[in-house]
Amino acid sequence: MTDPSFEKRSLPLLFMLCILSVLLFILSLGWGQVWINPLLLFAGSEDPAVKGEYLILLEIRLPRAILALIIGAILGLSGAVLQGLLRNPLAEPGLLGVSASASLGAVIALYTGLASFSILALPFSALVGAAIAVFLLHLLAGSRADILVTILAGVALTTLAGALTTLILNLSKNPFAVLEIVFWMMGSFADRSLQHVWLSLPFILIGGLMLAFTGRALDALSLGHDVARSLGVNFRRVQLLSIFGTAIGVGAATAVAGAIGFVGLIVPHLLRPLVGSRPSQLLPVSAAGGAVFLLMADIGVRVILPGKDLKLGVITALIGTPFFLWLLIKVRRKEVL
Amino acid sequence: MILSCSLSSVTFQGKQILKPLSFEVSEPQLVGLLGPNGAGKTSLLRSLMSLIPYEGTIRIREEDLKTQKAKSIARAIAYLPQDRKVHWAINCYAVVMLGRIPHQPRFGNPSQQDHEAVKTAMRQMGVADFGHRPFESLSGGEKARILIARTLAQETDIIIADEPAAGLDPAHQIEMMALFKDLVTMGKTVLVSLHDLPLASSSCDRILLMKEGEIAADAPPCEALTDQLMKKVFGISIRTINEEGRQVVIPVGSCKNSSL
Repeated sequence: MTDPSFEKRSLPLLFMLCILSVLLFILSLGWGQVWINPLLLFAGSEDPAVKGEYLILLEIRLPRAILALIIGAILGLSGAVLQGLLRNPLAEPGLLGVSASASLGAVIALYTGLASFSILALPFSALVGAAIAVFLLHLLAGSRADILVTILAGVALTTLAGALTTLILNLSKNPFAVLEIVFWMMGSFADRSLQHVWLSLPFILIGGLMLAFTGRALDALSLGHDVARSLGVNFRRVQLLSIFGTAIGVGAATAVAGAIGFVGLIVPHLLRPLVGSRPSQLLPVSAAGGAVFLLMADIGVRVILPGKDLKLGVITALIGTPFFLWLLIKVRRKEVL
Repeated sequence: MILSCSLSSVTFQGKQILKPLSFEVSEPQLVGLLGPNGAGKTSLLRSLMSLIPYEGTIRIREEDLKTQKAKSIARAIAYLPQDRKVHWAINCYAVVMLGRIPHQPRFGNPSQQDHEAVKTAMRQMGVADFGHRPFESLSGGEKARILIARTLAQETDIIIADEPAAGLDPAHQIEMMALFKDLVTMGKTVLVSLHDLPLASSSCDRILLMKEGEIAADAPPCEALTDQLMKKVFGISIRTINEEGRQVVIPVGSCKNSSL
């Protein structure tokens, strides 16, 4: 009997996606209103002839590329984990109300002026928003995380967070603050500094690490809750790792880049058939695929409307919504799962 | 001793669902767990796997389950549930490989030993060629074979099956019980909850008959599935026929209104 396992197939895929993300990372550094050789980053700021270009690379394009890489990875990874945990192909952090709640937290920080006190205030507020969302989700869906109830609870949380965000916009007297909030919510990597990277990176790494520990248990969950437990899986632990890992990682991602939807939905979906649908195999490739997707989207933002500051959330939603509808139709026809 | 179970109580939401009961399994057997709905069969099986809290002592190979971690319990007892659903479009090989989870570290690809165990289990269940096939494309009977192979790959002494025959046609039900008998010859103890009296009486080595959270009888089928006990436990009358030296019990009518 030939070995029909998928480990052999997913490794080359992971390797390819990693190479692709490195190439896109380099392209993201070079691409902009003017092309800058990314290698100048290593040249240092000594040469006055290229100092300007070096600073653009270091201060503007490098943070942007790093954020696209790490946020894409955490969104792809958390989408794959949540889909595995809930055993539902429609799950993604955005649908669970985590992103909307993180946004609400950030918007509260912007509205109250808290954000101007400390650079930590906005991401911390967004994290609190995300954490409250997952607690409520856990409370509403129960310890067994019934799929339908979880998604309904997520929809309710998203609606509530959206309504509260709109209320804040209504109450805001300062039109500039409103504009700031609206633009912030659409998601972007523009004008982010290395400080944003250092702020979000630890949380994203911690969240990512927590999520990475769930792979084997998610495999077991493909046989249902009870069988997974009979295989020695501590379901509560997996649930906590998945939910808090997502909250910490996606909360931090939303805190620095705004709400970027659909990455966590699309990426695991496109890659799932290529790794034999096994959740554990899907996690690393989804992280790499998420990075590739967001790097591409961020380059796309600069290519489609250069100089117009097109928001990243617009691009991912424009790609994501038709995909989501297509997926719904597929689920209705029972072609997936 | 393969398994010894001595429970004083199992409660759920304040209600006692299992009363004091005890039984032991000292040699590989096919043990049928019978009883009306709500008699506590599933609760007993779930207690044996430590999926629900219980008061009392359950020992496997003299080791108290309460002192063991979930992973080592999983290396001693495998579970075959009633539904034959696998989420995601996983191929059969990967489904059987899931049985190796208790033997694997948290990270890393399956070892050579894991692959060998999976291939052996699939060969023993007659599904060696199914590796590449998507699980969802199989018939009910084929799915059952793959899932039994999955429990076999877990390499446990005990396999617990909760109404595995439900939803299968008679031919596949008989085939499934034959597979369980094969597992017993391989040295496994199989505890299977059933609703089908002919199937239980024709296949099982021993019957645990449950009623209202207690064991009403613990004996070979010919002693446990008697007229009197069937009236008392199920409220039915039975007829017994002899088939190849075994007494096969067939339910023929309800005697709920009769004075028992």
